[in-house]
Amino acid sequence: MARRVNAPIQVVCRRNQPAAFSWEGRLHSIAQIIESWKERGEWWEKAPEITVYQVMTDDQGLYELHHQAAGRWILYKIYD
Amino acid sequence: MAFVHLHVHSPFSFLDGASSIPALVQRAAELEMPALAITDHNNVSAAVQFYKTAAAAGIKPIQGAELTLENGHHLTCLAENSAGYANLCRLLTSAYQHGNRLDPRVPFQALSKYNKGLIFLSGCRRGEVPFLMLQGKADAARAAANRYLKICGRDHFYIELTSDFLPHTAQLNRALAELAAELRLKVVAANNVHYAEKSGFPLHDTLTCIRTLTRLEDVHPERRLNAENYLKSPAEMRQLFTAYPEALAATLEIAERCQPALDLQRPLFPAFPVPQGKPAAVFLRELTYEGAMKRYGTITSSIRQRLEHELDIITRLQVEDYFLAMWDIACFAREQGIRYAGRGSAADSAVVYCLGITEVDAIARGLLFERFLSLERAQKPDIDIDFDARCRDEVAKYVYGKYGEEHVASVCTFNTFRARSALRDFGKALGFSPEEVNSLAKRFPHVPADAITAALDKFPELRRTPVPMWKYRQLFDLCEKAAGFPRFIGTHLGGLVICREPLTAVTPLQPAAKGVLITQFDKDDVEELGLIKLDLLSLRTLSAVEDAVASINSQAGPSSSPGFCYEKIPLDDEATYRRLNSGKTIGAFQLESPAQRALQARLGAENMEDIIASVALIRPGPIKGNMVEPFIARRRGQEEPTYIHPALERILAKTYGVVLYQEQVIQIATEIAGFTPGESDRLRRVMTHFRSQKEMDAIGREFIAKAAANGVEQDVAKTIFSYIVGYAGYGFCEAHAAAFGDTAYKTSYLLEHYPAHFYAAILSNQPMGFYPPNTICLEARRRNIPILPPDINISTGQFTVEELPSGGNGKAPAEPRLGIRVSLAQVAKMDQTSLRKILSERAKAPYRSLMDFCLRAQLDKDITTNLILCGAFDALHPNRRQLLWDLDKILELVTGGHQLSLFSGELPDLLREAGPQDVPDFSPKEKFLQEYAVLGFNVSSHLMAFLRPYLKQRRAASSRQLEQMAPGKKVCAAGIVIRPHRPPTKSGRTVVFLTLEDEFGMIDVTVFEDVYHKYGHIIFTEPALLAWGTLEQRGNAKSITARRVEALPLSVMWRQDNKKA
Repeated sequence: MARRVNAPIQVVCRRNQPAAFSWEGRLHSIAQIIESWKERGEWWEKAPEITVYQVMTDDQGLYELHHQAAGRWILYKIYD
Repeated sequence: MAFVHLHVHSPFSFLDGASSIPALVQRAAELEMPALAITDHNNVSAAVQFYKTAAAAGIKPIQGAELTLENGHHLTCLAENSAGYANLCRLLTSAYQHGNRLDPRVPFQALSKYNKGLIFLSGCRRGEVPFLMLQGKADAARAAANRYLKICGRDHFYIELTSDFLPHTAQLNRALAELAAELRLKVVAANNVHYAEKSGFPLHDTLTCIRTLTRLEDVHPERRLNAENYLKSPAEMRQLFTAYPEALAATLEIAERCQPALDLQRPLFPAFPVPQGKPAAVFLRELTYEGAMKRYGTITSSIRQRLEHELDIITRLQVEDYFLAMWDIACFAREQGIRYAGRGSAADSAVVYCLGITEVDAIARGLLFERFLSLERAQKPDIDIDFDARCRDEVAKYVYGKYGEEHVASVCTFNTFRARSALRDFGKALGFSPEEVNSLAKRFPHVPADAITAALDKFPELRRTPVPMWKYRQLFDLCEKAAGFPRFIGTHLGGLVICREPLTAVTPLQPAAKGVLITQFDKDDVEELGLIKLDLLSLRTLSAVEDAVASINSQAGPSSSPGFCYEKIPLDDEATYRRLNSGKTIGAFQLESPAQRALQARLGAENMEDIIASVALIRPGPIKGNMVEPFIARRRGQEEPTYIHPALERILAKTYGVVLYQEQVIQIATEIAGFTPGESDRLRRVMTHFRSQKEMDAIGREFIAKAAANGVEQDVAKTIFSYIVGYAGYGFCEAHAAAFGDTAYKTSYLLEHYPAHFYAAILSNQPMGFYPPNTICLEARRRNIPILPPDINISTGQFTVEELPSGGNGKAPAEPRLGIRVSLAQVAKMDQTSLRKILSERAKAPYRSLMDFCLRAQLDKDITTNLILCGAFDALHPNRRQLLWDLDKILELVTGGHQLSLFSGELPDLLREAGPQDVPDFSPKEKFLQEYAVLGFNVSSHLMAFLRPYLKQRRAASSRQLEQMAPGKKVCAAGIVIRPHRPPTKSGRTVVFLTLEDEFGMIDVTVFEDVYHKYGHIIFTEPALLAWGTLEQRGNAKSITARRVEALPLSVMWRQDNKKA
């Protein structure tokens, strides 16, 4: 199961890849990028292109982060 | 390190490629790629254009295709050399044989047979190996890779890695690379390119929606998740494939191995099977002189000189076989009694005339052979022949039989996005309703898709509209980007190619919708490949002529001319010229448009030369060049032709000093400026296409300089060149005008002397000509030839001519009055099987009643209903509504298993029991509408007749009243709008010509730009108009110059009138 969060977050990057992010007052360190891909979305509604990262944090949490082309990061989903 | 893209789709992937070939090549050049491949889905249609564009950009073109295999998986395929290209063509042909027109599949058997000279890549995610790997079926993927390895060979099969940023890409590439290493196969990097730059994604995504019949907001597996399928730079590819440098290197290695595989301009026309093994040139000479004897009686030295000149050029260009093939086809048509007429620039050739292909005496007319064929130009000859439309396929069948099925195919054509089609397709994909899209598209004139924005500024019917155009900005933008992209492949109307080799080594062949095999190259590209196109065209006018002649000859009585021969129609018939001069020529080939009728009414044509000039005059070039008025004035002796150089008199005398024909441009260039034939032809092409002012200025300077060197004063040379420039735009070839002129005159003759037969023939061969059938019926009625309703016991499968009973005054008229009986084939939903059934049953005995008809003909209910509604049973029972009631009951009884006997008298009793009797019939208006819906025209009445009381209130004069009025009067006219159009004008200002049709005839209306800008939005959208303006007399015809236009509120008037009734 997954919970849709869709909230803006701060992300620390290393070599153009997300390395850690802050959420609910805690810094979550990314242990592994499980998968990543790009989505163009609803371009006709002027939606931006996003890069999707499915990541595992040091504490074994599974998250889906979206990185918009303009540099904005979103925590999109948390997997239970 | 450089990189080469080896998996690239062009627009010839049909709605799966979003960048033009020049855009792809230009981008590759910008990225300094040494080579580029095009791999469209199951075709090589881009090959010629790609070859030429890439060569011009200094890039090596690699020809290929993305094959769909029999298991539905994709396989990328690249040709190493010309042998590989031939095998690729064979593979693609086999795909269409094994699969079908819409779903080609290459069988593995063919892959095993035709793989030499080809390099295969394992493909995108739809390739079998990556597909199985993504499914987690590594063993199956290995087995598949092994199979391809076995079929293609180790050096010819690569594992394709793609950098498309889709989920699981990294794992997939890793697994594929491991598999490759295990099997000792090479990996190669690719990007499955569908557009040149990232910004091309929205267009590609929308094209995908069009292809999958979905809307942007729908989800479909064919839609791409992201915008990564673009022509990535070498730097980007390097970054993406850092883990696989060998995959990048492999692209260069493959590009090095692949040589340009397309052989252009190879002589591919087959040797004509000459009897007794004579050389083709000898046989052609014999046939030419034999024909010349028949045509001329005596061969004078000038005839001989001309024929020798032509034969010399034909022989030196080595195209004798082509001439013999065309002669042979014309012979076949003649032997089979198939009506035909050669047309086009081939009529510039005396040899073609002597071979019996054309009817234009090029020598007598002084036509210039070099316009058709010249050594310097060395282009392929192009002989076009029109055939009776019904027999064209029979002629094509003869060609297939003569040269063998493997050597003959129809030429394809590509339907491309233009404004209307683009608006419809893209509009649907963007989610607009079909009604909205249709209404929008219909407002647009027929312009290219990239002229949509310009059209919005230019045409008032687009500016002044209730439709808010801002809503469509995104739609217009996408349409403009797709301008010219092919939507689908179709069959060229007449083009056939014959090849000395089996065609499948030159072009893949695929079945078209109508069943014939077509090439994957269009008419221009087949010629680039070295094939010569034979244009065997269908011309319905010839079918109508054939029908009219048969009808004339079958009619008994004093009005018939036994043994009437179309070919022997006298060319100096005064009555025919009187008809032409009256401007009443609706139905005449090439002379029926409003502009032509207006010209005829003023020109005073007296001979064939005038007709030929007329055909050439009403063309955009002469109209834009403002040549029509001087021509008419000089022809009528109101103005003296002047020639500023003596040489011009000889060239332009027959057109009164006006440059009218392309041949004259060539002659002027040759005689005034001393141009070689090739230079002259270049001038002719610059003039006729007029694509670039720069090009025009350059050739103008050349003309003036060479003329000066030839002793012509500079000012004179400048003036002469200005004559030619005035003509620029669209020129017309005299030979073609002469070929058409013959048919134009002869059909005018039929119109004058045998109007009933000719109108009937025109109606039987619809669609043809300028006007809809309703206009032809009106014209017939105007000439006192009634249109007789369909009659179930009289009508046949064609419109036929009937003698009408005499008026009953006891005196036999000198000429019986004729009427035209409507064909049963005209009835909506009628098909050939039903028609045959009706006629075969009727041949046994006439139908006695609707019941009798239903029991014997046993037709579909819809067809019988339509027959009732259009009056086909009126002679048996005049109440159509009653018949509809009866029909339901009869069908109920028949399908209810009731045992009916026609002779027992049981049926009438049953009907009486079953339903109402004495049902009132439909009103005349209801019948009028029903007839129109079923037949597409009205038999006895006209919409305007019903509206006449309202029109009288509005003080609108009928066309008949207008005929009697004095010119200069302010008038109002009303009618159905026929063919509004805006021909080009020299000033660039818009003038609209349209015709208003009422129950008595037609009146032409001219709308100048200021009025057009006020009323353009209704002129092109409303079915019927009221027009106020000044009545003008132009020659023998009248027309109105409009100052105000109003839409006729048809529905309101119709309702009002009904209430009154």
